[in-house]
Amino acid sequence: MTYGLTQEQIALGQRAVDFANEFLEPVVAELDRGLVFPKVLVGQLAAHDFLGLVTPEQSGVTGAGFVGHVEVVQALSRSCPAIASVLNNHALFAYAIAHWGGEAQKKRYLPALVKGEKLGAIGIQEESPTLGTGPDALLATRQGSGFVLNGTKTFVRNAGAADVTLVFATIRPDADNTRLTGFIVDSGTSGLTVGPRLDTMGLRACPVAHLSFKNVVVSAEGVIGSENNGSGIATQILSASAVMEAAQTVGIARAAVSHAAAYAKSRVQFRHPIARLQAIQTLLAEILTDCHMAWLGVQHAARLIEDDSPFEPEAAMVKMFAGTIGSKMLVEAIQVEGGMGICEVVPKHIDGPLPLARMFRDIAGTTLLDAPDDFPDKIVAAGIA
Amino acid sequence: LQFELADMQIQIEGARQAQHHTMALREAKLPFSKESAIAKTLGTAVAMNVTLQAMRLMGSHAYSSEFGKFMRDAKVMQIYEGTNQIQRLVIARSVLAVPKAAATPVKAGAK
Repeated sequence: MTYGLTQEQIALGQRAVDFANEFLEPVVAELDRGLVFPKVLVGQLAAHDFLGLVTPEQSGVTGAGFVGHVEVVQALSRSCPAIASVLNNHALFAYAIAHWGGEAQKKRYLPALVKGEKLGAIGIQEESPTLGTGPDALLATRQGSGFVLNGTKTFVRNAGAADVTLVFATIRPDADNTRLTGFIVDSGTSGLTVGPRLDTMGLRACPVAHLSFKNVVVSAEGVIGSENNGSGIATQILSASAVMEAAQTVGIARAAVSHAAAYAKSRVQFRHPIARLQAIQTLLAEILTDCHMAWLGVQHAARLIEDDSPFEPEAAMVKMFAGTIGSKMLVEAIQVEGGMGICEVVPKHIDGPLPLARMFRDIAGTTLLDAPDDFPDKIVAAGIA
Repeated sequence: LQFELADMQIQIEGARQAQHHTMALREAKLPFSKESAIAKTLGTAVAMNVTLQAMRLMGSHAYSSEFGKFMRDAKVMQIYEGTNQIQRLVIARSVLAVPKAAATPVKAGAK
């Protein structure tokens, strides 16, 4: 394993910073209202080669790979974490196809995913914490050589905007709920409906909704990997997702700490800028320290994924740590800015944006979505010999 | 999970006692500014911690519910009516203040 980024990866990260400044900063407040899905921005992500980073063979982008992807996610999250979330869920779908998809599936989806002609999504969660057990669990029954899906998937990101979704279901009566199967379902398939967009507190440019399936027919070619072999795939997707979300968490917190530091230098109290107070310096230093540690963990896990090494315990540690420090970092950054930190709307006498309240909502969304918080603990504990 | 709920309750109860203590001092017409600053800092910190912990327990469900409002309300409490940093200044001053009895030290051996 090598440490440090290659020149190509550094250049890729810089392109993402430039992209964020040019395309995301001007519209982030508007996107936060969450009224429309930013389809145009997805096109621009494609034009800048950010959509296919986790499938380097397909995209052929220099510096591509999982390490490059988290670099980009972190940079985009400084300006607009919701777009990073859209990108992450798309990338997870592409990652799944590239790793477990058959040749026909790869041919059908990967080029379109890289070019942004198709947007991907992942549906794993159900109302019941144990998949395949609740009254609304997604169940598959055989019909000829194919399957019929019935049930619900909850909290699906990119819902309504995605062209294709990978969902995990239990085949009945053959399998119990410990053995899932991954199904690729194209949007617009008869019987598939996207529920109303959930009124989420943050990441509002990334739509979240429940998907309901009523007699949705999927052919045998829609099965990813093999039948009853999807549990491992789902777990690995969740683990990869944890690393991407931690990158998002770090990006948000770095932007917050920069903003809070600039504020502290300009805000005069007790005859000096408050940045000269040790109490303020400690708050900022602690946030940046947490960020740094989390980022090392993200890079390490990303490298393992890129090298096709086992990465689940490392990803779980990253998820645990990011979950613990996530919202706390924004609590402290806002504390530095006091009343200004909590403002959602910029008062007239203030020059420049006040993004911390939005970042607080975004970072909560970043660490809350996906599995409940106790899931990484179990993986980490199980890995202790 | 049960321990987490217990921890949340421990924090809440501690903050509640600090508040009651301050109120009792005030009713007894005793000085209470340090205790009031402690109760404010502790209470609002507990509100923030417990809200975030509860949200973590609820995962995705917290993200699409009224919990977002609790989260922001708890945050505001740490800031207004004197930020918790200002409260700490009040507390620190009272900790560092020279006690009146010791203010005029008697020289050892002096009569």
